Amino acid sequence: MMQKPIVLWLCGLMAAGCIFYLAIAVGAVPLKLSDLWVSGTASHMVLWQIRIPRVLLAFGAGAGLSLAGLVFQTLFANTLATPYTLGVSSGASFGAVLMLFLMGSFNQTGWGVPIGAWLGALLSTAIVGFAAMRGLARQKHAMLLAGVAVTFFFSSLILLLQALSSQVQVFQIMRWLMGGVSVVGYRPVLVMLAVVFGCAIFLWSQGRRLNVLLLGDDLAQSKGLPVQALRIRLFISVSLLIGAIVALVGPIGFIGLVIPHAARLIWGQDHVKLIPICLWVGGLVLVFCDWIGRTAFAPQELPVGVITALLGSPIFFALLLRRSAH
Amino acid sequence: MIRCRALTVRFRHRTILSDLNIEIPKPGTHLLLGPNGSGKTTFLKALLGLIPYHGELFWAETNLAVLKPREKARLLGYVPQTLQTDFPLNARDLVESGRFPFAESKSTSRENAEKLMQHMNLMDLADSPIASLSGGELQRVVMASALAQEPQFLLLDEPANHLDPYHRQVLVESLQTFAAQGLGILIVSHDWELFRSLNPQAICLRGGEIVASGPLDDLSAELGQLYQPERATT
Repeated sequence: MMQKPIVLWLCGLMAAGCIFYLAIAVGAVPLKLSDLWVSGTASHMVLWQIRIPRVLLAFGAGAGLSLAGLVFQTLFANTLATPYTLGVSSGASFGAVLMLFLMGSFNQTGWGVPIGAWLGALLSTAIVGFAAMRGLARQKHAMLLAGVAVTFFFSSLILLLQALSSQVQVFQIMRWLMGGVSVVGYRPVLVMLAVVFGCAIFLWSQGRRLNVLLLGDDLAQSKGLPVQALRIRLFISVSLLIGAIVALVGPIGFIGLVIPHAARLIWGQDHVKLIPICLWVGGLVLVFCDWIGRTAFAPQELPVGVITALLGSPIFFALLLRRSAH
Repeated sequence: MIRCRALTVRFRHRTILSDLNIEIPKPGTHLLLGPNGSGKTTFLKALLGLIPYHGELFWAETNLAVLKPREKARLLGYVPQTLQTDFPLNARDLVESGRFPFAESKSTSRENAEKLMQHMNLMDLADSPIASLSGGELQRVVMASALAQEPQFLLLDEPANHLDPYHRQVLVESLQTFAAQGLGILIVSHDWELFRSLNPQAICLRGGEIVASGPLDDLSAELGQLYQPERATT
């Protein structure tokens, strides 16, 4: 019994080493890791200015999305609830696209897109949170349908903005909506990593409260959990998390669904354990998906959102079938 | 002792509980009776602070509304009719959640939960997902979770529902043991015959008002009328 976690952690570390190596060294242009320490070469520049920030961005985004999915599942007492399925990613996308529309192009928006994404995430979280507190969370499928409605609503608004945009803007919006982790330089990456790991530390500190929340609102409250106050804290931190991620990488789906599901199956329901696991595994999976996107049709690059959707949609469908079979 | 003064609960212009004044002493076993919709579960939920109410609820001289959630959880243990969870928790997780009101480390919580499970002969079920438990097993686990809170009063909502005759008897015997240990017990049920051997005090609710109260054995006539359709009593 004691050896299982050690073996799993060793496998996890080896997988992480392989994935980081592939992501940094193998791409359209193969690079040697030894070039990391040889300054003045093109390889050195590509590694430090393009590959490593990209890997860090993918890792932070995957970690944060996976964590947000885990917390949403608990928050809505629904294993299919994620920021993506409940429309929070769409809300954040709308906020970002609105800023882009108002300010001209991505090059001119500065902090406009991140702020717009965060406000959009906050607005859509408030909508689904309101629906949940009005009792919809007790009806599992109704909550998912509410998510579909929120997604359609914000998608329609995005389409409206696209219809009113210039051709260049439409292209930029389309490309951004596919989700991607290409980035040059560290500043935005470090800001996002700070938000993700700041939220992660806060959420980890709430781990035992999240465990009690799994019992459902009434029983959890009878155990001494201040359910409404906790919900508000969780909603704010998850919307902050999603806003920060979507602002940089666009709406990337299914990481937040599949990783927490798998983690719960393997490691049980203790959030004190699940939170670091979801961060680690979610980060690695998105780095891996991005590597596939970069190399599968190299030199053509596929947006990472396409890869996660291609892999995640069948898994989501299988989960729905499994759930209805129960 | 639980005391309520002018307790009123309204939901969307409908009055569920109307101006209830009652004292429920500890130790002792109390049975809250009444037809569907009479406000029994609402009374429990108001006690637990799960719904808004008017009036005042006291534990001895302390207003329950001013207690912190964890303090209240150390007074009142709740055994609901059903569990509303989508997650494959196991029995140990559920009992351990009952230690949440105490400021103790996770390992101490687990240790205390396991001690209680051993005491209640539940260790065989510790790793079983709650979805795989029978009705009787699940109820014992939920009750262990409530007892892990070390409450002064145990509140049970329709505890005999979904139990076969054998497990109904096991339930009554367990409650008898808890009552003998000095725990206050408040049971919401329609089935007063099942709990008669506990010599409970009965509180009869109808239309959100108390229509009778006293030792169960003294209320035969009132109980006969309690479940008659509304027209018959007016």
